[in-house]
Amino acid sequence: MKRIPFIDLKYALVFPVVLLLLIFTTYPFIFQIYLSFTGASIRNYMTAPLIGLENYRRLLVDPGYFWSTTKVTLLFVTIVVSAELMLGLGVALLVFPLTKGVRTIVTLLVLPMLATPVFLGAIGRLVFHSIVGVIPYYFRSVGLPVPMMSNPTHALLIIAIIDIWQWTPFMFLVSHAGLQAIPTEILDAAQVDGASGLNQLRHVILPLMKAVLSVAIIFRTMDAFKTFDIPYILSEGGPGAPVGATTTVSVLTYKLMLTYDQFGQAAALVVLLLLVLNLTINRMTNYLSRR
Amino acid sequence: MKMNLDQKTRNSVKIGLRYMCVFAFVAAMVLPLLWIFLTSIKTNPQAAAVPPLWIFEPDWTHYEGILFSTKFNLRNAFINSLIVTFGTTGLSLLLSFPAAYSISRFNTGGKNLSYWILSFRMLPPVVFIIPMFVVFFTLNLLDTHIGLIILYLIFNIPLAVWILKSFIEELPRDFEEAAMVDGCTRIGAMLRVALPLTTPGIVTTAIMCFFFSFNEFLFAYVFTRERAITMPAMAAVFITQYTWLWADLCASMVLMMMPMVIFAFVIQKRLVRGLTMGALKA
Repeated sequence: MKRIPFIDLKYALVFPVVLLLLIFTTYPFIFQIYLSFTGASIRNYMTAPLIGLENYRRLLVDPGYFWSTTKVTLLFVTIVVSAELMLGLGVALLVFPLTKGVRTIVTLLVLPMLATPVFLGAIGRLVFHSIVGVIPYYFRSVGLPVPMMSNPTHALLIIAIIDIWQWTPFMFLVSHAGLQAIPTEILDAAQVDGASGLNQLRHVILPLMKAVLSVAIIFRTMDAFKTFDIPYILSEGGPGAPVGATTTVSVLTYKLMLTYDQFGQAAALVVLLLLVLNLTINRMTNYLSRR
Repeated sequence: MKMNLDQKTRNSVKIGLRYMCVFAFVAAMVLPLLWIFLTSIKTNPQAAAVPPLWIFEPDWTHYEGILFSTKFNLRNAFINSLIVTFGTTGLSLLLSFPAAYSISRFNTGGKNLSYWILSFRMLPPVVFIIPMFVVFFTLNLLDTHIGLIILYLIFNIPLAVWILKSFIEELPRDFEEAAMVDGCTRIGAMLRVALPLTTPGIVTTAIMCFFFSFNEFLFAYVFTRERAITMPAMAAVFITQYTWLWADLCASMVLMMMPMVIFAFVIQKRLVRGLTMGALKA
């Protein structure tokens, strides 16, 4: 039997994956760019008339959905990622010197990450229901203002809190692992030199964890940016329409496509999104590749 | 001596305070899940009772209803979820292992190829729904298991390639080279030497693919309706059709979490690595 030449083999092994992903990029993106210049709807996307830059005009100028949804998405991402980082790192620092029960703590904290987001959104309708909800009930009984889905600020905060509840454990796990990886000699040396707790944190622990935390932040930012399930099910992007207080980019694309039947405009939104993402994804992958 | 004792008590008070804070945090994380579980064993009217019930006669019938009856189509959705998830996981591993092997052993395509593959995982799924909807409509793939599996591969392949790559890179090349000196082909060395040695990596990858496919909502919601509908999409249909059946909804969620809790336990130590696609080897 003749041996397969070396050089061919290595390409043969990656071929199926590359082919599959190429099919998923080339055609969809070309077709999407075409659609973005048409007034397509679900029934006539093949024969839809070309309308030039009208879809882009609507998204960017009048009424400018693109800007409002970008604002919502960025606000959401900023809130959740910073809260998750601070809480996760904070708890990991609290756990660090502890000896007993750490394994139990870690095991229990994994649980929220395993919850199916769309179920959280659906059950959130019960939990935050203004009449029968548990949370409004206890808020009322201690005299706090009741969180309401009809209030734009509350709605965004509720969505954010669910995300923070679910993903703080991720930041915790990463920080916990990062702390374990710091050589004990370094910490002992800092202690001997008389560095206070806060100084140790600022000048020893954080610089050593910078790389680990950056990876975690990249992953969380990326995923928070895509958020669809919970704002779609729990608050339906609202309150407010068409771009409400919780209409993230994903929710708006979905709604433009299937609720308002504006294939063309949805496609234009995706094209704009890809232009923006192209820059950020390049930066993120560059950062990851330098490690 | 007295100083020393003071120091000791102060330290134990500090440790005690730490435990208290950590306990409060863990409780806040676990309490919602406990409440969901409790709701799943209430009757539907009890689930919406004011004030909320914490002590009651448990009612396990919702689980029976989901698993053993065709009521609400939930059983069907659960089975579909399993079919699609296992299909995706299997195919992802099959396609990704050779690719990951090639990339880590021959540096195929250099950084460009591996980061091109990674960029798919970074794209929001929503960018695929419009063109793929059109393709699926034309090819009659809407509402089929195979259609959903194909879509899930876009996100699972990057995940699988990257996790597997990080595990294969850790294997010393000597084993494969020794096998080749003994007359094994490259493919033989890959399948008989590298593959069995990557078992922990394969298990981790499989479980991460499982998590993704089992929980995925957007594609399932857009691309399935009835025959191939999965649990997450069903949840969305369920709350609009049966708004008052809270206990059934909670029971479905508990059932969904069951396999994932078991799997998370299996890869406990490699969970962080899986979640960061091999970037962090903690």
